[in-house]
Amino acid sequence: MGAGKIERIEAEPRELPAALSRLRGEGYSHLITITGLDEGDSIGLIYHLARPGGGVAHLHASVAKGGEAPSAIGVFRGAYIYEMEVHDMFGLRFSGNPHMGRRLLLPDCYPEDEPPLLKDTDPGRVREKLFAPGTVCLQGPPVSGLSRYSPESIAVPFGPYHPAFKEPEHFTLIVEGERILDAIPRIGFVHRGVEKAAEQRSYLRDIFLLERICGICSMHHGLTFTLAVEKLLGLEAPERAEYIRTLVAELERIHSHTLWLGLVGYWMGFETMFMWVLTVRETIMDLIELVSGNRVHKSIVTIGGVRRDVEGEKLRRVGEKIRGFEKEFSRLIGDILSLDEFIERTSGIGSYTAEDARALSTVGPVRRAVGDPYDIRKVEPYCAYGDLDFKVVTGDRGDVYSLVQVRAGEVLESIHMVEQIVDHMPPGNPVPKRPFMGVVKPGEAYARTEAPRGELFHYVRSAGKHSPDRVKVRTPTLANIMLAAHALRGQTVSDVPLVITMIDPCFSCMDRVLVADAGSGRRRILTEADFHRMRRRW
Amino acid sequence: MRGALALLVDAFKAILEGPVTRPYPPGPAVEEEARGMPVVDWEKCVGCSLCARSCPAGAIEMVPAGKMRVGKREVPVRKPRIDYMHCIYCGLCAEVCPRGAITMAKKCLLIAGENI
Ligand code: SF4
Ligand code: SF4
Repeated sequence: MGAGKIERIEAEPRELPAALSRLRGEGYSHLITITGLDEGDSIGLIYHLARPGGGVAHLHASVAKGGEAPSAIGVFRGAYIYEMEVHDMFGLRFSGNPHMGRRLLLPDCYPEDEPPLLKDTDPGRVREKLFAPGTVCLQGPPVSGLSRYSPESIAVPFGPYHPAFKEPEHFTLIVEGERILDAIPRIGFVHRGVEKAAEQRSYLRDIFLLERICGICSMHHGLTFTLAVEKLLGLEAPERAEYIRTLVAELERIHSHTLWLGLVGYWMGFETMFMWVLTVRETIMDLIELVSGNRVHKSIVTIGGVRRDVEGEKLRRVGEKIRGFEKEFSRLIGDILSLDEFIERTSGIGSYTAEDARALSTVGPVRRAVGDPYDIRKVEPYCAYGDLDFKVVTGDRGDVYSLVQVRAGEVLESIHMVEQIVDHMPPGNPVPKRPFMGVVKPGEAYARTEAPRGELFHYVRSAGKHSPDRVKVRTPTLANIMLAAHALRGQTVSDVPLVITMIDPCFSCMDRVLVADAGSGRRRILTEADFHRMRRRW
Repeated sequence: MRGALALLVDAFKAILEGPVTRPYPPGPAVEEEARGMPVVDWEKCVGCSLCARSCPAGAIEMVPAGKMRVGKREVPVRKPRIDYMHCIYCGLCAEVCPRGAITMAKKCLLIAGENI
């Protein structure tokens, strides 16, 4: 199953690096994330580690509040981002992590002594401190030390609001002429504090809240959270509900991948392709509305089942429309992939290797494009994936072209899965009698799903109340953004939108908890937009 | 990958297929499967406020709605008012209401306050 109760492996804080490298030696080579917990006097740290072939280990250590833990970057290179998140959110320091001196997620003016995810942090007090006279969050100084790249290099700020971006994000590009020498992402312009908000709502309301982390893979957030809560409750959804969840999940993957394909056309200046793809995609949007009642936020998952059944006639229409879509899509992708201009414009753009992808904990199609079949649907089957016949599509090189091939292949696989679901829908009633409104007994659980962009991870902890004690979300874009920054090196400035689009980024998903700065920590930029955002939230 | 011939065939097909753009349907487009918008029937409502407590968006406010008879006494009662600008049209209120006082009407809100 893609979800499970958590069995902690305990460790002393100072033994953490040794314990992590021992687990790594046992095959747990993928650091999913680090969850921070407020345990009263101390801060709990849970390192969630996965084996590429399946299986998750949870290493736990308790560190005194405001104390220090040794950094894990010696064992897992990508750990520094997760450590910075814990540092920002819980005020814990990691010795050996070179990025501890600066903020990752919060604005510089955020009061030092009020880590936002501590239980006793009072938003009112934070607001007071933030607006005390003299508190100003200003843009940081310009990049220094440019000469170490080359005597000719200059820094070009890109974003946060730029015609080439769909969402606010900032990249500092160190360029020499047209060539990019380094790219430093800075995100967090749409941070909404969803994890904190989730602690104050009931489980049922949280499903809707968490769905709003992302407008594209919204169903996967609701689903992953629900799977974790069902684990805590010891509840299994009826088989028919599992099939309907899988149906919507696969429709969501098709719509997400086709939207991405259209955007690839758009960013390479091929707008006809964008229009064409989006016209074809409309069928899927109609299907999503037919099944769930809404085009964007499906809101179909509920604790213990789904909210609407998809019965006879509707199911037949799904089958009919998806076959029509398959025909149109095959023709479309055949035409696109036979255009010389398209092939030349995408081949070798944003290239990366399998080693890069693994070292930077890349997930989803971006990882599969280099031949690594890491897919949670196979690794830890959830919902109906165990019963379905599908193959994991992989590519042989990492670049935009190979990603188009992989995602197109995945769309075709998803179509086949939808057909199988339509043909083999089990009988029964998938809708629970009443929406779940009770308490959840104390415990902790996690769930992982394969969202369109890759592995999505939710951790839920209950203290026996109506609302969760802690919800932690790790979205796939966060794991992939480091790869995008890496792949930008050596490209030209005109390829920036295309390379960033390559990973199918979803910045608002990622921003819900974290601002990643994959650079070397020379500085941070805090724009006025940050300041306004904080003012609105608090 | 396909050859130039296939492309040519497609091009001819496209000529014969007619335009791909279609006129926009007249009037508001409400799919029959769309979830719709919540409408409260105060006559059926007993003022339990379950809807307001479960609304994910906090879009329901319980407002004073006169008095109700409970046994022999008259007690003040509050009934829900939905703020359609906050509502996310999830339909949860209609699901939880014990009296079926909230229904999801198959219409859509064009401009605030106009056609509710
Ligand atoms: S439809 Fe959903 S958001 Fe709107 S009032 Fe009802 S419960 Fe609240
Ligand atoms: S749940 Fe139904 S009966 Fe209760 S207050 Fe809301 S509308 Fe009225």
